[in-house]
Amino acid sequence: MSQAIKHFLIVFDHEAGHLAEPVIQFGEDSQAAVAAYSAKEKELKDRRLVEIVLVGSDSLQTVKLTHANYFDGSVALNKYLVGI
Amino acid sequence: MKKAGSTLRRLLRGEIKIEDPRVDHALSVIQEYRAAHQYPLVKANMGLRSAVRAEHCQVEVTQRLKRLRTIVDKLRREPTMSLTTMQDVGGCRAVLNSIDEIRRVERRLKKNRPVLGYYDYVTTPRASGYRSVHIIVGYHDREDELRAVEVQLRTRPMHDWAIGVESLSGRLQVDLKSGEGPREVLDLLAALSEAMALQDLGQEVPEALRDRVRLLRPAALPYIGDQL
Repeated sequence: MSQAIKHFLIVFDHEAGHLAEPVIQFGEDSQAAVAAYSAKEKELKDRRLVEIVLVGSDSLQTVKLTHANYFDGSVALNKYLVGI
Repeated sequence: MKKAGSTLRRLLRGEIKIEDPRVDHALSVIQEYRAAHQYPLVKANMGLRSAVRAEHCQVEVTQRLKRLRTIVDKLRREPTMSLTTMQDVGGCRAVLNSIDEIRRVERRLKKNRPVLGYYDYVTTPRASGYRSVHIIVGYHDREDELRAVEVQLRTRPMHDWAIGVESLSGRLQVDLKSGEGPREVLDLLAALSEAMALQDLGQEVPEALRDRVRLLRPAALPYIGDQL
């Protein structure tokens, strides 16, 4: 795990079941990330089925694991259901 | 801050419309308040990583600033809640390999920082089935004001349950974690969480619980479809 925390803005469309746009990466610029987060929320405030999330982590790879639900149309619980 | 909260409650009660300029202003106030948590959140993230490393755990750590919509929904759900008493505007999370690791990291965090709150949903899960340990720690912002940051410690199954439910909540437009939504879905998720908790401890899931999950599943199917 490297020390730097990088910031990623995720825009996910629940209706379509996938990302509404590519993940926006801000590197370590946390203030720019927060400003863009607020701007995007205002821009899409009428779209109830669009979810906007600002996540910080060491890499996009980690975010894809910890927030898998936005990246693989997640079936996180299916494997447990199947196992029961 | 109070005025912003009450404007949004009026919006949710249908007393004012979303186009009302007061709504825009209230949203800006909340966003500004939230932005003040970003700096302490980064520090909390560093602190959590350091605690995780010190305990020799290999995990992913992430942080997030609470979504505007989730903040507004929480204000609606909990009428006595105000923005300033909301302790999870900034949150970071570690997904650990076992409950033992959770307890070790938890002890270390409590030793390192002033603890403003503590919620053990592993010992006592929420009615929805949500399990995790939440520790509220204090970090100062750029103006030297103490801000609360919520640290969540989960195992992989706890995390999978939570993100699965979050994803489903988004699709159904209800907050399942807080007990909102179709009874059939809530019952299935609670039973599934019970089974996953036993598996997490390396215990066998009793046949009666397996049967309950199998029975609940068809009733929930119209809502969850084939993706859960």
